[in-house]
Amino acid sequence: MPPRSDRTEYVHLTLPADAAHLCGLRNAMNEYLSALPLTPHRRDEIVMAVGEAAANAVEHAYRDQQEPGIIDVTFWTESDALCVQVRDQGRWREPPSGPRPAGQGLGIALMRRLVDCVLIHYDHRGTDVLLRHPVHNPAPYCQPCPTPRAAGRPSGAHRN
Amino acid sequence: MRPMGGDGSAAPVPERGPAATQAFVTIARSDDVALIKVTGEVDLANAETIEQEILQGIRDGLSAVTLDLTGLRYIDSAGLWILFRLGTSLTTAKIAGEVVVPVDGPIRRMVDIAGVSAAISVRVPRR
Repeated sequence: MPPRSDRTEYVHLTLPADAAHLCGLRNAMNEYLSALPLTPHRRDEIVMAVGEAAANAVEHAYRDQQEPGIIDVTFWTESDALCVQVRDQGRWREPPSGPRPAGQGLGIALMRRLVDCVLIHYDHRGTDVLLRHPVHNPAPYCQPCPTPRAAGRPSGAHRN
Repeated sequence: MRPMGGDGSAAPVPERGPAATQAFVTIARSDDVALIKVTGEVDLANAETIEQEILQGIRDGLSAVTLDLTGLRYIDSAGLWILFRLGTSLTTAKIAGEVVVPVDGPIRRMVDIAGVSAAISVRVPRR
């Protein structure tokens, strides 16, 4: 079957870790998410959360490198959720303890309020930020999972 | 940016919205009151420039500054930090400051969940 351009169950974007590309990422996200049964409010929340994850990578992941690295953004639909992975290949930097300099730490806090579940994993290969947001009937062509889902939810931060 | 479909083929590149983050700052002063209006989008790409433009509207002798964000479409944490810093600066200068946000939508949502009101008064216009 030839690929359908309107299918949004899996989309992968690669962009330079440069702030100049954040606007293009938002435009692309808005375009692809518009095919899903999301309210404008929910779509805004997802776009803003992904924007924060990408901005974090732009600002921190490749700070020691002369050339900016890349950011991979992948989103896919499951039977009951929209998932987005934002991945860089740079270094994770712990937010400093004590009073925070301007601009540090707020992005992650916002992500955790904007979407239902935020998982952050980092190692020597880079950082993965996984955002998961419940969506009812995320795509009419996406069939429910044939096997029962594992009980419970993934560990990680959840929206209050 | 290289978008790809699920089978690895190139996905259509969406054509929507401006190619770069754009915002516009207008400043109006009347006696000792400044009204600063920001429209467009503010993110990491232009936050520093927009902050400098906003600060150009702050002068000695002002008693009140209103930052009108009702025409803003997008703001991220870099933009929100402008509001925190502005609130601190105005408090130090003993200038009454307020931020006006849209009744609903992403700007109000971000300002609310970031807790901007701890740094500067946030007002929602009446419908």
